[in-house]
Amino acid sequence: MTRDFRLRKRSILAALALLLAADVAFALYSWKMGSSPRDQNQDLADQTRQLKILQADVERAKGIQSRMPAIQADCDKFEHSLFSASTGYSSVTADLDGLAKKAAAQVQDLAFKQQEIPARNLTSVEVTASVIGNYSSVVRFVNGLQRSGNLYTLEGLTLGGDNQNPGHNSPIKVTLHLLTYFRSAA
Amino acid sequence: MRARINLATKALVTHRRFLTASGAIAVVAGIIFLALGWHVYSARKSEAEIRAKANEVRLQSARLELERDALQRYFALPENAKVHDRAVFINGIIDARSFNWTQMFMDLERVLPGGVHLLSIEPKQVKGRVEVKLRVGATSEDAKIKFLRALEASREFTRIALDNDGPATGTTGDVSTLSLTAVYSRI
Repeated sequence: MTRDFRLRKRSILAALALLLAADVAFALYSWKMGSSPRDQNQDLADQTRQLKILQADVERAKGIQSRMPAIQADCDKFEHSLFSASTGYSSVTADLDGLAKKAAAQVQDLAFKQQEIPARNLTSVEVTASVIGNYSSVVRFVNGLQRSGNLYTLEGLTLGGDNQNPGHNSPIKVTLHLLTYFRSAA
Repeated sequence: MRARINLATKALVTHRRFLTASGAIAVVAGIIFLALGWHVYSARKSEAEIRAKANEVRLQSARLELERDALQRYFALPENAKVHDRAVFINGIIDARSFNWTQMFMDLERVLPGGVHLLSIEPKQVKGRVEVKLRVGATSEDAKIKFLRALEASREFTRIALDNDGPATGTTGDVSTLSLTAVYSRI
């Protein structure tokens, strides 16, 4: 009977030791795992962020790729809207005179300086225009230039030096620095 | 007459304390075992899910990188690079043209007091914003100060830098000429 219980006790102790050892093992494993999922989550978040950036890049590039023919057509359309080099000067002169007349101003003097733009079949033309009128007509002229169907980029504006404190109705002389482009014959 | 006689040859040993203690330890250890087991199981499950997601992300990244490489090769083709170059050039012209002079004149009128008038104006696109170089003539010191205060208070003209404040030249009737730079923006 005593020998039986000794055996039983040993078995119970062995089972308890096994259970406790399993607890310790699980505890160690849990402790070890405790830090790794956080790192993995961080890694996953970083990778997902990178993926989204890459996705946006690719989508944008695909969008541009699909619009390439339209972009090319727009470029052609824009270049065809420019004055032709063969008739450019007369067209600009007539256009500016017309705009000045509409604005009740007068183009007194025009100076041109042209420069070929290599490999683009374009010529950039700097136009220096002296315009006389009152303040309102000059503003109307500038407005007309901006709204014109022809391309003029107003780069700067200088008031003539002999203007005596111009008011809205006193005449002023303004020098406009414009830039336009001529389409060279292909 | 009956007499009770203990015929045992050894003292009676009770195992109750051992069994109770070992039972209690077994119950506590069993609960801990189950709790830790569940924790390990869930942690491993979520780890496996994260791993699966990370693999999915890696696969998608690899696929997108291939697509991006193909697109880069497409855009590097001479005919496409030329279209891109043309578009950039034309957009630059359109950007420069889009500057609204009429609006700027209206904004300038608000800050120009009597006795101050514009001599020259030159806007320039600098790092995506419009920097305006202004030269104005003033008929009196008072008008000049009024103009500077109005310009500083305006919302459209910011980052004002006075480059020069000198006596006027010529026969304009001005006492001084100011040269300044400001960033112009419509809010």
